Amino acid sequence: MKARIVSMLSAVLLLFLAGACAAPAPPPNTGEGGQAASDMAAASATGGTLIIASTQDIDNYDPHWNQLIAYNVLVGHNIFEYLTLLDADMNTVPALATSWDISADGTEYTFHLRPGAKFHNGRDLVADDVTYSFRRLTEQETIYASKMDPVISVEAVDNATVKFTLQAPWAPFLEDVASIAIVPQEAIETISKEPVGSGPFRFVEWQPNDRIVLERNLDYAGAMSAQLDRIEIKILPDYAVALTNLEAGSVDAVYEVPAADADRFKGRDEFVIQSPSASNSLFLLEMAVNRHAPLQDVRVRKALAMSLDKSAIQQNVYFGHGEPQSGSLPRSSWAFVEGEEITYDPAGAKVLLAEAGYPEGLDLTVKVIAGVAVMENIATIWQNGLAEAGVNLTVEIEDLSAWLDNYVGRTYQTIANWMNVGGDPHSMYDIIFKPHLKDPDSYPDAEMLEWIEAGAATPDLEARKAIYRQIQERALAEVAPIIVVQSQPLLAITTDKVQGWSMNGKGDIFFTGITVTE
Amino acid sequence: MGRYCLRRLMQIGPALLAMSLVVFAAMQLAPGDPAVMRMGRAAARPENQAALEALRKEMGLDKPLLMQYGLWLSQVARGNFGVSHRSDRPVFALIGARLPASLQLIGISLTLSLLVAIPLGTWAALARRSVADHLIMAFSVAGVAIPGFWMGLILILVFAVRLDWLPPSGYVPFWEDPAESLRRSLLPATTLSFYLIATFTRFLRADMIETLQEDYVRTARAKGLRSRVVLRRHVLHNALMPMLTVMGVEVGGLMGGMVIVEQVFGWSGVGWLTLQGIFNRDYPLVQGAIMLMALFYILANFGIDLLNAFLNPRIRAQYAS
Amino acid sequence: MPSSTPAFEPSTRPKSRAGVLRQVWLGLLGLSNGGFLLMALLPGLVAPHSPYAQHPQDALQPPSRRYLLGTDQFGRDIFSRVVFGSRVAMLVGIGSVGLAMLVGVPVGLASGYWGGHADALIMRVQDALLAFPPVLLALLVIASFGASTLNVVLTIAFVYVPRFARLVRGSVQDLKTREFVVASQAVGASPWRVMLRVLLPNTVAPITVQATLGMAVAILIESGLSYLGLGVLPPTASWGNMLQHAQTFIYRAPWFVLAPGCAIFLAVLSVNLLGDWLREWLDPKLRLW
Repeated sequence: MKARIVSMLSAVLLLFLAGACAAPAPPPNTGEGGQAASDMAAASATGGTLIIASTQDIDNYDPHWNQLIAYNVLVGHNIFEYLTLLDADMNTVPALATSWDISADGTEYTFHLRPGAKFHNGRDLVADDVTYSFRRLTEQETIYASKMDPVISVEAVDNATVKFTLQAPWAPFLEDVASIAIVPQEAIETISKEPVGSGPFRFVEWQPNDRIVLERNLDYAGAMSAQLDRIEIKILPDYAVALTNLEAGSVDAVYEVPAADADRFKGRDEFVIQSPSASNSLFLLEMAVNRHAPLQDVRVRKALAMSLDKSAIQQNVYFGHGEPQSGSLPRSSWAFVEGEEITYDPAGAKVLLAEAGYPEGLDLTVKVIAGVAVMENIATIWQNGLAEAGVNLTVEIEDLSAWLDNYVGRTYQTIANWMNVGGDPHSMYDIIFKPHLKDPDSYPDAEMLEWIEAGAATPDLEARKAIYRQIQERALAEVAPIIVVQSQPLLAITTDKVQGWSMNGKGDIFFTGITVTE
Repeated sequence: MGRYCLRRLMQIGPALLAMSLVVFAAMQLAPGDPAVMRMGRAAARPENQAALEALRKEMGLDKPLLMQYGLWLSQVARGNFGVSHRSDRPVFALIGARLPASLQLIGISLTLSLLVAIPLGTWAALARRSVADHLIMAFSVAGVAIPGFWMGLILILVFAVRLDWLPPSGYVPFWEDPAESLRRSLLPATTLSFYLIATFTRFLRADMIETLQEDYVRTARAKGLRSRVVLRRHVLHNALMPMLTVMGVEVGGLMGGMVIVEQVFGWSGVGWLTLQGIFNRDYPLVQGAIMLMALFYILANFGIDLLNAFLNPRIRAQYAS
Repeated sequence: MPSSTPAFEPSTRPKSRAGVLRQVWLGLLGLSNGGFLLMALLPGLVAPHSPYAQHPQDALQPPSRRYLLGTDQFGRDIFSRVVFGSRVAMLVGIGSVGLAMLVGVPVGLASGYWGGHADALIMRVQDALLAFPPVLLALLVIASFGASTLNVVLTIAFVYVPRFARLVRGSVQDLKTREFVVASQAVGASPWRVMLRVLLPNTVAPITVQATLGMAVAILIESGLSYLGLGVLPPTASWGNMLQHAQTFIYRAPWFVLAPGCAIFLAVLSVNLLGDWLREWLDPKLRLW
């Protein structure tokens, strides 16, 4: 079945497509259930064992190299620490850095590290580890190398203070550092197999295709002490199996549950359907505009967007979850501007196509990842609407590696993708828009590129909002370089024994707040 | 007996060789440079070209094809099936970890199918042309036409979704929770054994009808031996031996069926691992898994032949020196 | 391969009650095979909707007068898709078996007729291929070349070549010593002539039977591969890939699972029974009892 194959992939969507990564937030100190930890008491607290299902095995534990969402959600943020992190409301909050100072001109960031931070091998975490970790990004050209682009230098002021000097002000910088794990140099050779970090959990073992085990780091003395004694990540073939195991009680939680499967658990007392307050995940169709002559005409692009039956997608792909939208930022973003929605109108699309010089219609292709049911289903619905408008859409199903090659090279007419946008709107335009705008074979637009740079380089929030309004309005008016389909639900299902579960809009789970009662 | 073994061994030698050739050839024809895949994204960077060359050398990819085949074969013969691209772990160990799940499924399916097929086939043969016989035969004709994975889906629909008696999926190791493990085996094993029951029943019935007409059976009956004794001592004994051979052949079908049934029931066995390998383009894993399954098949048949020879006085006599 | 024993016993008493049953039976057999052929050749005539037409408001509807077998997740008519799916099944069945015959029969003829080292070599290779469980061989090929309808046809053909070659070779070796063959050789007929004019026509019966049974297995293998996502790719409707989607909705729309599976079952059953009947009809010797 589809879901089965998806299982291997859907959890998979790559982090570099998904923007930055997230982090465990401080435990929500609500005192609920009497279990919520206060930081020091947590050292002796026993929050039980959480068994969480993953449909994706993790085979590389190097936090600067593994792009998988599954890795970042389940392992990265549990084992490692990051200077900052994105909390449940997508705000950037202190993590390894307990506080920071920003120079008046916005070019110097000084981070003060948490006193007493220790790696799992017993060594104290010092400022040099931070500078080493950030330099490693560029020296080894890891996937996060571009995060260093605005940085001129990173140096240790003293053992507990690190100073970054930027070329110019860079508003998303605090969020950028939230995706860089701090690693110990002496353990770097084996880090891809036996990760050593300073996070609230330590790595115990990996049994390929079976389980990954983490246990509470007893030496952890920070604000984010874990309460769980143990996290067992159970690798299961797919969501159907994972959910069966949930029902049978052999796992406590399943995350990234497809909407089609989640409804079965509605109204059942022993299960809780979890979701963040707002989802920042957007489903997109990207166009390599100049690779396909008809796409160069805005009327054609508009016609393509008008052929998307978004209500059918919401109803039959997401089963009522999420919300159709045309704007290029999540509705929850502070920079979001309500624009005019493009509505389903294949007849109108046909007229537009005729105006653009395609009265006979045209041919189009869309690339989707094999086994990712959501992509295939949306493409199938689009195909139907396009057929009515006179466009013959061929759905090209490719395996992940082929899809990725084409995606990175923009060798496609259109391609399906999704993006888990960070708290800062820059991530969307930096990751999704910029490659198109820079590429003469796609959708070169120097002005929009300037806006995007300005959006990040302007410290003032109101000024930034104005810039992002411009960008959103142009993207919507030109219907380029992407067509936004809708916001995707981020669902997890847990048993009622799991307490303190929380997630943010990118789907990150905050394990330190969780307890499991027997 | 020894001579017979030797002869059979010499027969399976070429079969194994040819089989390895097919597996090797298929993997050679697959697109993509194994060294690039092993190295991953880093292989695209110019400064890694030397390392890539070194890796190619290390993997023996610079050698002529025939030599590569020879090297691979000698590795395989020593039980080294290479290293998975994805997890960097030995293929042999990965498969080994999944083997208990698959063996459990195969074992239960075979047992179940024999337990059902032997009485059914015997009954049909003895009650030839009766209503029971016709029903049993109709069942066995239908049984081979039902696609296994659909059968599985229907069982899930009835027993898991509608009646909620059994879990629809997932393997639990026997040593962790024997009862739950068996409970979860029930649906997939039934699915797998359905085809086998149909095939075995049909074969056994035909075979027994023939045996019943043999002279010695008639003689035994004429001598006044009770029919149950005749049945057990002569007919069943003689009809079961050819059954062994059929079983051997069906082990092949069972492995194919296993890949699909493991998928239906989310059974994390060797078949599932192989499919994952296919989707991830993890060629060493696919190569190793298919080679091992084929090997298992050939060896199972070899074993069955030996057993057959051991049980059959005629073959024993022929090779007694 | 299904086991080699005929499914139903032919009755030798045409006037009896069994004789009448047999007529009814043959009628049904013809009807079901004819039905599938009609569906495959003229699906538009049978199907009330287009197999691709989506009715989003009617997604996952249970069977009704409008949608005989209900609708799928896009509101497409399952009945129409099942009807169009017969095309894929027939295409794969006939295509793969035809291709296998095209290669296997000449190889079998030649190696049976001439014998010698070439024959020994060919047979060893074929033994090895025969020793490969078909689904494993298919997985291996698809793993290397990717999933597509063409690859499925080629794979199944590949599986069947040795089976045809062996069958023909066996018949030829048997026939070679018969008088009429020896006679035609004696009057100076060329080996080609002997093979094509004398031997080939005499192997038609077993080839036909094998081809029919092969088609049934081909349909089963195709549906299995498509179910795994390794066969016929959507949006083309194939029974196997319909079931792949249906499984996701087994809790929500159980009827979705029933129809494509029944189609596979009935098609395979009809073709199998046709094969059994052909075997008896073409070669009365095979009537075992």
